[in-house]
Amino acid sequence: MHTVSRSVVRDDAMDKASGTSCYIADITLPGMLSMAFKTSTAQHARICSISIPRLPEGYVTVDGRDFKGQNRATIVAEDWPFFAEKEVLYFGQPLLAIVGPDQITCERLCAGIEVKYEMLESVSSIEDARECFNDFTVIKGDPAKAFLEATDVFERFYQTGLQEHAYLEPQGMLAIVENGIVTVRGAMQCPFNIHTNLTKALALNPDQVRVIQSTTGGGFGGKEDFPSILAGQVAVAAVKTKTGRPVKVVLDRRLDMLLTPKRHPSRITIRTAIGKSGRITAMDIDCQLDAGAYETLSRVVLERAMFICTGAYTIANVKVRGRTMKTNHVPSGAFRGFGGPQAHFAAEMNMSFLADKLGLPPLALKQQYLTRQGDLSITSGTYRYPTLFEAMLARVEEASGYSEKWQKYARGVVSSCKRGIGISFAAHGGAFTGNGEQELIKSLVRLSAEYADLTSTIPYMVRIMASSVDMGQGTTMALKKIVAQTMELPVEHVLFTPPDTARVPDSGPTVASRTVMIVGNLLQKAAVELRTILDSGQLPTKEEPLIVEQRYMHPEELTWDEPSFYGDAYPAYSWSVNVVEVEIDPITSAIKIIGSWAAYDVGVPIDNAMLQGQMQGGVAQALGYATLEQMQMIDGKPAQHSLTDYIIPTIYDVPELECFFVKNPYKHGPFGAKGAGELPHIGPAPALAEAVSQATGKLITKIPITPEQLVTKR
Amino acid sequence: MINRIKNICCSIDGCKVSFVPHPEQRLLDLLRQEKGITGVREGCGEGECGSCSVLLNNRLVNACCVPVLHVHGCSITTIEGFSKTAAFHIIADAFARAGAVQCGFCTPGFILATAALLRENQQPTDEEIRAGLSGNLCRCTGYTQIIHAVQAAAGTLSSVPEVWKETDTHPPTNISPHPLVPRTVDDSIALLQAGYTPVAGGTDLIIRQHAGRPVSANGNLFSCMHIAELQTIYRKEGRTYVGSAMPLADIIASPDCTPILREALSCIAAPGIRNIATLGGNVCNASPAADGLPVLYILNAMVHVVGPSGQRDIPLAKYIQGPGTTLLDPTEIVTCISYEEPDTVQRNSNWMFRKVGARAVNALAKVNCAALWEVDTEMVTDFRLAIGACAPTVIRSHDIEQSVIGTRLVDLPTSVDHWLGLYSELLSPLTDQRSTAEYRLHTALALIRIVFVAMG
Ligand SMILES: Cc1cc2nc3c(=O)[nH]c(=O)nc-3n(C[C@H](O)[C@H](O)[C@H](O)COP(=O)(O)OP(=O)(O)OC[C@H]3O[C@@H](n4cnc5c(N)ncnc54)[C@H](O)[C@@H]3O)c2cc1C
Ligand code: FES
Ligand code: FES
Repeated sequence: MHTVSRSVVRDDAMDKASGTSCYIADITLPGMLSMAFKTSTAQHARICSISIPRLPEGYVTVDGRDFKGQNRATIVAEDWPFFAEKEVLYFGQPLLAIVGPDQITCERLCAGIEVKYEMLESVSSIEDARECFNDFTVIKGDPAKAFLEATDVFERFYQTGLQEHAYLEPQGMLAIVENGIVTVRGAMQCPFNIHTNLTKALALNPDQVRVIQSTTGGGFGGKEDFPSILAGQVAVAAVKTKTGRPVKVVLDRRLDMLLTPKRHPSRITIRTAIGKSGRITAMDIDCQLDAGAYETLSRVVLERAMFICTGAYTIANVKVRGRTMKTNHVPSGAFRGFGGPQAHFAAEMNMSFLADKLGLPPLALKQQYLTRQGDLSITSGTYRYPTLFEAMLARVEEASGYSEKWQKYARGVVSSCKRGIGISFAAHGGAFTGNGEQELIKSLVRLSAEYADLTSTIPYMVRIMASSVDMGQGTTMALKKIVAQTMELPVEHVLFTPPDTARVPDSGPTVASRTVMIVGNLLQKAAVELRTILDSGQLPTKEEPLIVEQRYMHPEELTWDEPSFYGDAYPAYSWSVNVVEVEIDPITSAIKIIGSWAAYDVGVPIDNAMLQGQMQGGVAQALGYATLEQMQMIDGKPAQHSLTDYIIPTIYDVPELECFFVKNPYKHGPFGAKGAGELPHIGPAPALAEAVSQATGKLITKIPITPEQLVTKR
Repeated sequence: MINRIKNICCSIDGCKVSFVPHPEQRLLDLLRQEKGITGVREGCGEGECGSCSVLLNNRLVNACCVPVLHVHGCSITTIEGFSKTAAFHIIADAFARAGAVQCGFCTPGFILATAALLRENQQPTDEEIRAGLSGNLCRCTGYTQIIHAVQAAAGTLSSVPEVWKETDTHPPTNISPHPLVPRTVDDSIALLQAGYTPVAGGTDLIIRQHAGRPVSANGNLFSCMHIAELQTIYRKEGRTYVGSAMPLADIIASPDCTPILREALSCIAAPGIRNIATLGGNVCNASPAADGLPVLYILNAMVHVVGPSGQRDIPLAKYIQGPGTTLLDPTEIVTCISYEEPDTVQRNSNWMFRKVGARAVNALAKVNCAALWEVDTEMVTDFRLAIGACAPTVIRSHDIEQSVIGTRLVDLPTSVDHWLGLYSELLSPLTDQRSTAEYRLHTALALIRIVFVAMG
């Protein structure tokens, strides 16, 4: 084990345990104003009129017209308005807000506002959608020829549902205008994205906007896109009230679930060509995502789904067409895995389906196509590094007894409950797609050695300045450890400045499993540089810290052509093998998960305990995604929009989660680390679905798998 | 005139506190907004997530469900107070070392739930740990490291049991009565006549109120949780009487509680809710999915109510009129619920309660079913069955039961489908956000079938 992998206790654990950590809901400032939203009760309509009752003194409305710059946020695409304008495109879309001293009064006033709508036709599903925001095709090899020569062609479609992030801390944001500077503070993953959006929306100079992250109670992608919207809404209110009084909004859970983006539902159809030899020769994949009413970042989710549309398998000839369908739903957004879980569900269940058609055990078929070093990806990039499937599989087999159990259950030798076991393989590309890190982000990090009047032998502290946020995943400790190890300092000598756009450089958003791999690597380089300076005898003084900076450089060997999606879609991939075992109650069809095992190649784990936590947490979310977590949109309204009805796993619903790591150092990662945060959410759902398929004897093609669905299947 | 301005007194983290209650205030609001104890977090506001956990008289409760009136004369321990104890340091250290703290939003709640568990049970099994923490949601960790942390903390704490002494709390003394927290039934009737509505555990009412739904004619509440005579359970002449304001956890723990009722009440929610929610609330709420009801139906329960014109004893099946509607007059209060103690239930295990929820624990019922029966060597001598969540009220059919009684055991297998057919005509389940009509019907019939199989 590399010493960096040895677990240390996170330094925020005690404050969090004792409740002293300060989340945005905990911040109260003198004279603070509240805010309530008037949201659309129509799914798709023209707004005919809005009549607002007379407001008591101290209460004002804000709406889209109050933005001096633009009433639109740029979340990849520049299309999501802070407040609806002439039309509402989804149920729950904010029309305006009322700002004032008392929250309950704001809410009552909102309830008194009358809105007249002229209803327009709504689109409520991928199947009904007629427009798409994006329509891409990627071709690898010669699928047309392979289909012509095929001896067999199989076709099947697969569906995945919405998923709510259900971070335990609801979204919240606070804005204050002081000396012409708009400062926004709140739960977020991407301080600089918010910064850019506020600058544009409010028509301010960059130095007139400051964004500060507060302790963030979970994100999982949910605090990537929406905080830009919420920040715009509170900031415009703070500007409009002109009183200098801060404005804060913290969504209650129901409102949070109504207003915020969720995981894209998908419908993926796969045609598979089988050649004379009985081998899979080609796949023709049609991938449709429900983007919701605005495009926002759906293009990137689609790309990520397309680039990994055959999962961890390499197929010689592939055509994939991807579309983001426009519906009258709340915009779909970022969620851990970003298209990966959807694509893998289809790819894996399709392999399961083919195994059945070809008369092979699923594992036997899957093993034949596992990606190996040197294989070509969908975008004809090279998988440059060894893949360690054999070692991972051996580890998972040993722990789970997969093959033995599979055979036993296949023979039908079981207790009164029906059991099944499933296996899946998964891939996840770390960091931004293509040359995004180079072209779009251009991360910059800063390290400074600061004078410290310490009695110890090391007369300085090293401060990390980067815009990566800790939303619970442990960024702070991971980055500190990287710097401390590199400089051979005790970790207590490294400080981390919580992201504040006025104080830290833009090292990019905290997304895409890029933080340790990209930002961590830059910090490691900076640490080496700083150490060289310090070793040369130079020391920081009280007045003058020693500062080094590092900017991202794309590894030279990588090539990418954005318009044609040709080349290396990712700098490196992380891999996993997942096994899930289930038992189905013969009376209720309830699915009990009795075991979950997974092995991961994330390069080298930076801190074992923390990585275990990341993996286990991701697995639990994915198991919920596959079973309990149902969100149905009925006429555009989420039928389950509270934690009472949208059911996430409790401590009873997940078994002891066993996660293992195989070491596979990545040369451009700090201490060999690669992306890790999203990977655990990708594989478990299809492994579980395969297990349910075995237990019930019916191929599962849709998640979440509910007892209701299993009963009707019979 | 009722003096609402009077102070509620309680102790919070060892300090005596008094305040004027607002009608809509929850304990959570008091702690966070007025006392600035922000370590008590709000994750859902509906009793689901446990991030608002506090200890009320040393018992775990969800502060988002607790009406402030309730805390009159009580001691409250929040994470802020608990964090000053040695027990906290042992538990928190175990969480930190196990990697059980990520975003930390859930952590104070888990720490208090762990404390509540380990105080009572020094060496919990894995199953007991899961049960103890089943009302706390964590979205970050997947729970495995949390279980490891609790195991580690239990190990350390069992060697220093004396640390628990320091966590003992004592309710404030010399508290004068509060008009909205009556101590006698008579006082509560005066409040009812003045237009006040009783709130018991608040786990239905407070959540409805907070969601902006009406809970009473004028929103004026009083707490019926401090009336000693509503907090007892006893047996008399073949019937068991359960005080309407007795917390479910106390009913479950009582040796006087019938096993089938204990089983049903144990399926309700999670420890923090069961520590405060009452049977009176479950009955008055009159939800078709309430887990307490099917058992009470088959035990021929009576609802005992008292009002200005005296006492009424109403059979439960009559008392409940439909979803959320009962025969209770706004000037009346339920004092207790009684049920007959059939011989079968005491003597043997010829009974069944099954709840089908969306997840393993802490989920409202999609369907529930209670049954009990008696057979001799040849035939069925007693049979009762009730199904919940499949019609506007719980369904129990005396007609079907009468025709089942007397059936020869050998004839049961061939007649099951006939009975199932009759039951299916009585069930009219709905499709809603929790399940489908088809599933509910299918599962209800499957549950009824296993009862018949068990009898045969
Ligand atoms: C997270 C959560 C999970 C839950 N899970 C379940 C579950 O699994 N199964 C289930 O059945 N229920 C469940 N419930 C609902 C609720 O907890 C139960 O119905 C509980 O028994 C209600 O009791 P209470 O004392 O809290 O009622 P309250 O909320 O105090 O009162 C409910 C109603 O009864 C009236 N009332 C109460 N006592 C009296 C009295 N003595 N006389 C006259 N009227 C009275 C009140 O005015 C109010 O209208 C859950 C609730 C929550 C928040
Ligand atoms: S806030 Fe979730 S249970 Fe109270
Ligand atoms: S640590 Fe984030 S919810 Fe538990």
